[in-house]
Amino acid sequence: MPKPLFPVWQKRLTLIAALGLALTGMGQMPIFSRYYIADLPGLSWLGNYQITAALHLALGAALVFLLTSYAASWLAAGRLRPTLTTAGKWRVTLYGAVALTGVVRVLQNGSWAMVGPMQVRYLDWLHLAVAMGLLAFAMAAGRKAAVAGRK
Amino acid sequence: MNRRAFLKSLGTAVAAAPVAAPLLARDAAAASGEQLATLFDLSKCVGCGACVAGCREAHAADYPNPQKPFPKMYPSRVKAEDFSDKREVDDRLTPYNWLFIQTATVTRNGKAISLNIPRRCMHCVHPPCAELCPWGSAVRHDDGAVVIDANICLGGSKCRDVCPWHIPQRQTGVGLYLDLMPAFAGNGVMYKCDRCHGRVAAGGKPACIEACPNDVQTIGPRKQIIAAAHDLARQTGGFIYGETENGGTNTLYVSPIPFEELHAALQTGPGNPGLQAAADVMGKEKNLATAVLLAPFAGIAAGILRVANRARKAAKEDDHA
Ligand code: HEM
Ligand code: SF4
Ligand code: SF4
Ligand code: SF4
Repeated sequence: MPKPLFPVWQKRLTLIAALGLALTGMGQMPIFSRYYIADLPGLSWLGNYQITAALHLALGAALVFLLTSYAASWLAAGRLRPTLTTAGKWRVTLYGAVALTGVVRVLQNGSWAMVGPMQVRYLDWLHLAVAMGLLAFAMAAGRKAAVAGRK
Repeated sequence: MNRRAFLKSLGTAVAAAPVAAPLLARDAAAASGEQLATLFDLSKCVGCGACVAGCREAHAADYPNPQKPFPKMYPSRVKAEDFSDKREVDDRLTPYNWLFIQTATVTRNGKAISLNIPRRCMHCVHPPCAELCPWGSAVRHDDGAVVIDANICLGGSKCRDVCPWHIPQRQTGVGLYLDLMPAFAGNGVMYKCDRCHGRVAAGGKPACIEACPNDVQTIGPRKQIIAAAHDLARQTGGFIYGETENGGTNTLYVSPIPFEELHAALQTGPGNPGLQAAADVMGKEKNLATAVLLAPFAGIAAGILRVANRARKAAKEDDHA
């Protein structure tokens, strides 16, 4: 029996990165200090923007690596290419959109600003909205298989 | 493909580094030729406050007019910040006072000398207030002016927390948060010097520059202003602040007295920034940002390697069959 194209350890890493990104992403907004979460023992770092921003970028790099490697394997697989289920298509779209808006936001802070200063708000709002969408999807259909014929 | 091959693909990312690096170049001069900077010749400032008055007049219409009482905010630790009854305060930064004069007194050869230092937002080249604003309300315009849009700012004050000088000042009871969930998120609007973005865009000069009787401040292209600051420092044996602080700003001060001494002589506090050596806040994230841009190269290489390895293995198994 051939090994699955996408091994379990890679899927686990993706889930860990996504959960970490959701946490540190929320940390980009001033809520953990307001709502006492950063007061809990061991969680004070959640109220430190320097730390959460750095972690969000590190996890973002990990997620982008994992997602692009899925995409490249999937495209290169030829006749072995698995078929995406409806849940799979949603997952690809949502992960793709959150990563894309995230990467564009990173570039915006470098010297390749793709959107004008007065449009950065739409980029931020989109990133936030897609992240919320991903969270909603994960809760509603997170256990559904992404590719047909396999678990 | 196994984990080892996966790691190998990281080598690809290193090979791709020359592609990604320029995209994150942080050299301010390279970033754009059009950024404007200002130069303060502190030896000329007499502390008359004409610039402060000029700023307040030019921006009177931009100041907040909060409705009272403020909506109650939860949890109770969230405190309102209210300067609407103290609009006349002009010895610190407030939502109604974006520029103030600091005075530092130091001893030189047994004599006390005082230096007046007009203080406002530094307009950083890589402003953490803007680059970390999660809502897109604080931005840096192409001319280098860093501006907070009072129409959408929610007043969470992250910009003040991450600014090395804690410049932006909050007024509760105004802004977009009132239309969302005022009890649970947001706390007003953050205000600071916008370097007269509107006036400058219309071809004018910042009001504080026009108001000054002593020509303390000049504005011009960043390169020229830096050169002028160095000339002035060389001619007068002076010192420069703002060129490298926080990784570079578009506000340069030239002083006859070292800034460490001035800083030590200041009483700093809320709305009263120091002149400390400020580390580059966004520069600390640069390596991580580079990693984000290299990740797709490594990922694509890893994905293709995996499929290639599977094909090779499958071919081998066929041979054995
Ligand atoms: C599961 C994936 C992710 C989630 C749930 C998530 C969530 C968030 C949230 C809630 C914010 C704060 C609100 C906002 O600025 O929109 C944020 C900010 C940010 N995210 Fe993500 N994010 C994810 C992935 C990524 C990735 C892959 C990158 C980059 C490679 C990225 C880069 C950023 C950046 C740079 C910010 C700061 C934007 C700013 O401060 O304006 N994010 N993220
Ligand atoms: S001085 Fe502070 S408020 Fe002004 S641009 Fe720099 S980080 Fe932003
Ligand atoms: S540049 Fe404009 S907003 Fe800033 S201190 Fe001067 S007058 Fe005030
Ligand atoms: S108007 Fe000029 S001299 Fe007077 S306080 Fe301002 S910068 Fe100094």
